Amino acid sequence: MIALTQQLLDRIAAVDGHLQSYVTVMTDHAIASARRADAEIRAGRYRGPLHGMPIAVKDLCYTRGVRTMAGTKLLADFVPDFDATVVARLEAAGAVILGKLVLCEGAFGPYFPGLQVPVNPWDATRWSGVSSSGCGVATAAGLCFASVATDTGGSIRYPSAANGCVGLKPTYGRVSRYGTFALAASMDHIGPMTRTVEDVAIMFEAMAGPDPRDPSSLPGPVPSVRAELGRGITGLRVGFDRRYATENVDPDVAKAMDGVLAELTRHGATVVTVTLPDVSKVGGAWLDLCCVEALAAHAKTFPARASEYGPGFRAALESGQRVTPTALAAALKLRADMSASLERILNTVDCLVCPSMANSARVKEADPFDEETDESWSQQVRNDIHTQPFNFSGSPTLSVPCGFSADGLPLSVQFVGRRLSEAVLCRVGYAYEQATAWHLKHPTV
Amino acid sequence: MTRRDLLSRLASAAVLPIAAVPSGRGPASSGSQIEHPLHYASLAEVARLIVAREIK
Repeated sequence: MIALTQQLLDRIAAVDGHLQSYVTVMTDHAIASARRADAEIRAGRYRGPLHGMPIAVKDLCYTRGVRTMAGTKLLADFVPDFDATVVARLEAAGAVILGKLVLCEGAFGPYFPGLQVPVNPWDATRWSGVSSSGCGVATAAGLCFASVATDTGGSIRYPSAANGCVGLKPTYGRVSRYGTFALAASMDHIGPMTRTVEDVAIMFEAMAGPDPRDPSSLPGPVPSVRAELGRGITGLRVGFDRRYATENVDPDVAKAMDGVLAELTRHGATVVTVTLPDVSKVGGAWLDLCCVEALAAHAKTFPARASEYGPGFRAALESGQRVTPTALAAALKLRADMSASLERILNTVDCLVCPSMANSARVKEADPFDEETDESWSQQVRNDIHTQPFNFSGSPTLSVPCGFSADGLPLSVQFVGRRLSEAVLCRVGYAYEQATAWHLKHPTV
Repeated sequence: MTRRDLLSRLASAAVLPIAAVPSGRGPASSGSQIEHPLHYASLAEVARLIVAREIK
C-alpha cells in the first residue's frame, strides 16, 4: 500500500502542475494511512476493497487538521477540527486520502479569481465541468482511484461527462451531508466518481447510510449494490422520452443514446416510451432556490464580507437577496409538482435513459472567474434540463461513458431511478459498461 | 486486465501501452490504441491484488 500510494503521489507531482486538480496534497497523512493499512492487512485485519486504496475528496468536505477552502479564499485559513461523515466513513473502510480536489467557489459555477481551474485531460481547451471539476480531472487522469464529489444542479454529472468518468448521485439523504459545506441544503447530494461502475458501487456502499448528525439522512441499512451487479438486466423496463433525450442535443449525443438503448435491448431490457413533464421552467426555479439557500448557507460571511467573494458567486448570492417571497413560493410549488410527476413516471419503469450532458465538453470560458458569458450560459441552460429536475426530485442518477464525439471527447449517458434504487441503476450501468469498452479508453497524460 | 499485467506494471512503475482495446463495441470505432498503466486500473482490480498481497 505504501508503494501504491507513493506511486500516485509521484504521479500527482509529475502531472498535476498542468492539470491543476488538487488544491491540497496530503502527503504525510496519505503515507501514514498507507502504512497503517499495510500493517493491518499483514496482520490479517482486512477491512474490504477500500483498504489501502488511494482516493481523493472534493475540498468541500471537512478534513480534520487539513485546510478546507470550499473553493474560496474567504476560507483560506479554515482548518476543521473534525472530519465530514463521508470522509470518516471512507477512512473507516481503510481508504487512503491523497488530498483535496479543486472546485468552483462555494460549489456553484464560477471559480474564485486567482485560484486553480482544473484542466480537462482529454483536451486542455475544453471545459472540465462544474463544480466537482477537480474530482473529474483527477479521477479521469489516474491521480486517484476514486473521488468524493457533490451535486446540487449537475456537479457530479457535468464533470463525469466532461472527463469520461462514472458518477453516482445517490438518492437525496442517502449519503450524510454532515461536515460538508452546503450550497443549497435541500438539493445537495454527495456521491462518488470513479472509472468503472463496480468501483462506484464499492465507494457508495462505504459512504452511504444513516447519520444522526444529519437530520436529512435516510434511515435504514443500505442494501448491497455490488452484489447485484452481475444479475443482468433481462426484463427490466427502461423509460425513454425521445424528445427530452435527443432534441436540442448534439447529434453525437443523440446518436449515442440510440446506441445505449440498442445495447440494453440486446441484453434483455425493454424500452418503454415515456413522456416527461415540461422541464423548461426548472432552470429558473432551481436558480431562485439555489441562490436563496446559498444565501442562508453563507449567512455568517455574506453580506458582511461580500467584497471578499469572487464576482461570480457574489452575484449569485446577491441574486438570492432579490428573490421575492412570491417567486420563492412559485419555485417551491414547481419543485413539488415536478418531483411528483417524475415519481409517477419512475414508478412505471426501472430507470430512465437520457444524456448526462447535451454535448461533449464545450470550449472553456475565456474568463472562468466571472459570471457566465451569454454563450456559456445558453449552453449551460441547455444542459441543465437533464440534471436539475433530478436535484428537485432527489432521484438517484448514474452517469456512464457511452462514446466519444467526432473530435475525441467523452460522451455520457445518465440513468435515473426511483428513490433508493441505486442497486438497479448500477445493474443497468454495469451491464452496459460490460457490453462496451468506452471506460477502458483513458486520456493520454 | 490480468493480474500479471497489473503486476508487471507495478513492478516497472511505468506506462505500458496495450496493443488493442479489449473486446467490446466501444472504442473500436475510434481506431486508436489505449494506454492502461496501473494508475488507470480500476479500484476493484487493485483491491483484488491487495487481497492477494501482490501489491504493497
